[in-house]
Amino acid sequence: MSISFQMPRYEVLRREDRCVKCRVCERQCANLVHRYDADLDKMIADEMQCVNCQRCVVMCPTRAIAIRRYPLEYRENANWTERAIVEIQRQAEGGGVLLSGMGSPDDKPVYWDHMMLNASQVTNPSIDPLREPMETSVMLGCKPDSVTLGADGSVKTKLPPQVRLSMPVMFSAMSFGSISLNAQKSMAIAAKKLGITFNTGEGGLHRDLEEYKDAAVVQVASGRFGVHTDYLSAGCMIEIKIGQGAKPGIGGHLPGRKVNADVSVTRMIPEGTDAISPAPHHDIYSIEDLRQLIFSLKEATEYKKPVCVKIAAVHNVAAIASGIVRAGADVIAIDGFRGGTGAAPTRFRDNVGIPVELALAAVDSRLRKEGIRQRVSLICCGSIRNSADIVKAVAIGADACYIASSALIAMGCHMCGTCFTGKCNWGIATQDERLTRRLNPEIASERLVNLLSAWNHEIMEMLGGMGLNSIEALRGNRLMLRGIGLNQKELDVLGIAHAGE
Amino acid sequence: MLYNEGRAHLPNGCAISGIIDTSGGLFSGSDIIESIALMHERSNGLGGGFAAYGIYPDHPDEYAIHVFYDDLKAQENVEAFLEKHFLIMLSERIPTRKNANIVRSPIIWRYFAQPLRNRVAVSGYDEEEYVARCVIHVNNDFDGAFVFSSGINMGAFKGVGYPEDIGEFYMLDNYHGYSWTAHGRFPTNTPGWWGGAHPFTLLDFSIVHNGEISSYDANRRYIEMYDYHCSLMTDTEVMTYLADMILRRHALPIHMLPKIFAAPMWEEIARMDDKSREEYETLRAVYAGALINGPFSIILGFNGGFMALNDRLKLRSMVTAKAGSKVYVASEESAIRRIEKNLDEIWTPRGGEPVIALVDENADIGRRRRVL
Amino acid sequence: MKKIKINSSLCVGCGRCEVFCTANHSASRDIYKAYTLEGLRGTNRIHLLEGNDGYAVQCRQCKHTPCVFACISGSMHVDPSSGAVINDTKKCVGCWSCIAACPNGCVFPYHEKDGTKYALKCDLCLSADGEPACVKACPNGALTLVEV
Repeated sequence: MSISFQMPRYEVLRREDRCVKCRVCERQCANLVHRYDADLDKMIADEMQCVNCQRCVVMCPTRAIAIRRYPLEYRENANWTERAIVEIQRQAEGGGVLLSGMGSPDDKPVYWDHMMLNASQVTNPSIDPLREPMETSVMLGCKPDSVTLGADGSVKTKLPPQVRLSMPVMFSAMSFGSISLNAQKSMAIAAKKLGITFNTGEGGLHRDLEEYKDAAVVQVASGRFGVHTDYLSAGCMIEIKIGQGAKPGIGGHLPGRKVNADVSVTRMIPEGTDAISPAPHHDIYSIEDLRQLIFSLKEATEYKKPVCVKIAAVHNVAAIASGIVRAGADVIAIDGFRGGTGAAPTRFRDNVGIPVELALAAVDSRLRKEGIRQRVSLICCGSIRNSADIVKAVAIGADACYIASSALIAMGCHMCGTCFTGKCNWGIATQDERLTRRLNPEIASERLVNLLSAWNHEIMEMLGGMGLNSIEALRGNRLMLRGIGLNQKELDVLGIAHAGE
Repeated sequence: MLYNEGRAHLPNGCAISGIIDTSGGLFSGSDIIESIALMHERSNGLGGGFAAYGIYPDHPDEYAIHVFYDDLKAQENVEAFLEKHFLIMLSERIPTRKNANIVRSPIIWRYFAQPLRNRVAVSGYDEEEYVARCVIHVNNDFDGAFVFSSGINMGAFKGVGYPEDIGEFYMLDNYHGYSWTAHGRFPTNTPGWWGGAHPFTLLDFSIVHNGEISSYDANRRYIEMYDYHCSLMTDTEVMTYLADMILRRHALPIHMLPKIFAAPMWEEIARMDDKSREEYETLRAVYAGALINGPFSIILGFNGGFMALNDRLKLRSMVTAKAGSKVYVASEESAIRRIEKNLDEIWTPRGGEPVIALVDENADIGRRRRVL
Repeated sequence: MKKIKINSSLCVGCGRCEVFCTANHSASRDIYKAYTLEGLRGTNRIHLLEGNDGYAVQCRQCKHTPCVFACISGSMHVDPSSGAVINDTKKCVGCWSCIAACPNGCVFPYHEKDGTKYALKCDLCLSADGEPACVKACPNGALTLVEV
């Protein structure tokens, strides 16, 4: 037997002048890090298991615990970083594909942080959202290019099916299985309260969520988990998941240990089996196949629901989007490489795909150039972290944004990135009943409502500052953005000028 | 000189005024000049202009194409193009009188032209679309030339200077029309360029505008999807193109334009009866890209009438009045009372509430745009 | 009249209720001092059942007050203003009759270091500050103060 080179990633710092050995940390850690040792009369920690989820830190009554990076100080090397070395060690020991949870943490450009917004001064007044009505509601769906009039001179045109949102944000797809029922329920409750939508992800719609189905976007992914006719008609929109930003080119992955009885019934698969969605939809090998699927879904739901197609942001995303419009989609969701996930191969998460800011700009410009922008609404996702990101996304051309990691963080996620282990201490990315009970949907949904209400106010403030009182007037309004610290090519792709111009 | 305007979106502070005789009676431009002159302080002398309707009754079927040329070479090039596409009945300098305050004017010319029938047929467009395309082509692709008016029996007259000086310069007191609009400009960026003054026109649509629209780029990127190209980057240009598309190409009635430009708030729509609510909702959904945010006060002129409209928050002033068959619109009440002491009514329209003044059906004013 | 209710499906079995109960009944009202200087470990009146993922036991404020009837010294009584059942630990002689009488097992014996002994039970934090400490400390809304 040889020795493992794996060292702890984090260490537990416990202040002896605060710890009262109450054992709350011991009871709360699903990774069994903390233990009370009766002989030593002390709380001790096995830091090898610590994933830095911060549960013990938050729960400790005296705030006696802090988690710090383990001081594994390899010799400084800008190329052979600690991470590069450790990943090789893990693969040498385990022989497996490295798996990661949540979005890419790599130090690649975040373009949202390189764009600044305008404010009106002198030549145009800013509008005060406390005193003037400010409209942030959005309608997603296909719109005709003009209206026809009836014999009596009134508008005869009927709009195709739309999804009405009270604000330009929706909860993104997170499947039941990757997250707990309590987590999905919290988002369903919040979505209904706020007047927006939540998304079933590829895990089907659990029967307990049926009272919220009018606020549900039901997803049809490559594994077709949970897809039956009632499911399709249940929600307010059907989403065909072609890809997701965290792992473009491959399908979803739910480890078998997270497939319990409930998940098994909802997904229609055997308990304990890994649910690995195929990479392509096996009935979509070319764009015309997508058109066939879109219209099959529309036929199955009597053309009463808009159909969304979700794609990952890749190199020729503009051409792909154009094809999708012509295939009959009503909404297109573009997911950038920063998107989160419950489980993705690390190499895909960090190296495949492009930033959503650039993809969104390219798609919006291309669709306008081809004169087909009106036929779809665009949803932007792949790390939307705050209301300013949303405002900038709309200014580039999005109709609305999906949020996922932000919603999970609001509910308690601390971004430890070990979702795939099924031991989420916050009761989110797990099916273990002892852990899922920790997420009280009443409390969690209130936190989500708080977060999005606050963001809605901030969006209204920023709109008012720009002299706008309606979000439609911001959509695609690129003159409201200026770049800072971007090169000319980046500015060209984004379609914005540099600050000072 | 000609590309100052196109590089950046410029704000417009200013003054507007409009007079129309709904009986179709013709009157000289001296009234409108006096009205806009009163609002002198609202401009900074870097732009003024007028649109006049019914002024060329002797050319009832010819498009009056007014052009600015930087030099003779530009004129040669454009005339070669026009000759291939139109039958030019008359080509002349627009008469002007010397004015101490108007300097460095370009070559100002006008043509009375009819589109060549066979070329119209071959193009696949209807006559108006054909003319519009030719005008846009000249403005985008010919250096040193700018077509600033292209309607039948109407004309725009504009340049760099105070509007009263511009009116004097073009001798507008010698013209007689049934509808006049005027504008004085206060640009804050460039030294001002003749083509950039208001009104902006396309065919017989003209817009004079006071304000600065915050939704400009959203509107521009929307209208450019439909084969319009905004080369001037001004508010009036984009609004004129939107009006042209909605009223001419989509043939919607004039009363729907304010429901699109200054759509009511969703809260208000929710309180309407089912039929109205569905109509307003559909218009707002389909024409979301034509919603205009930000302060604006416009007078949209066309053959047979004009429409005045404020943004839905009423961020710019606008006053309307009636005296007999005449309707007046201006940025200030004094500008109306200056030229007509006995008013039957005077009121301030609410934000988003249009003032639509149409010439009586049976008045003979030549070609008329059907807008109802 | 109020009592504390536990919703066991929401209890996460952390034990924070015990810690804050102890601290709120201390002289210093400081957790660290209560456990170390004042030596109050074990004086919590709400108890987490070990090995169970979701249950905390505390007084149910029974209407028929069996503990009051069992009390031989009169220390266990119904507080006239709040209606809560309280044990006056100064009067209590430590006979444990109340513990035997309590149908819910929520009265606990306590021995101080000098030998003094008395019964401990939840007093809805009336002897301390305002809102019951366990209700406030519960991270998941499992404990609530309800009207009876």
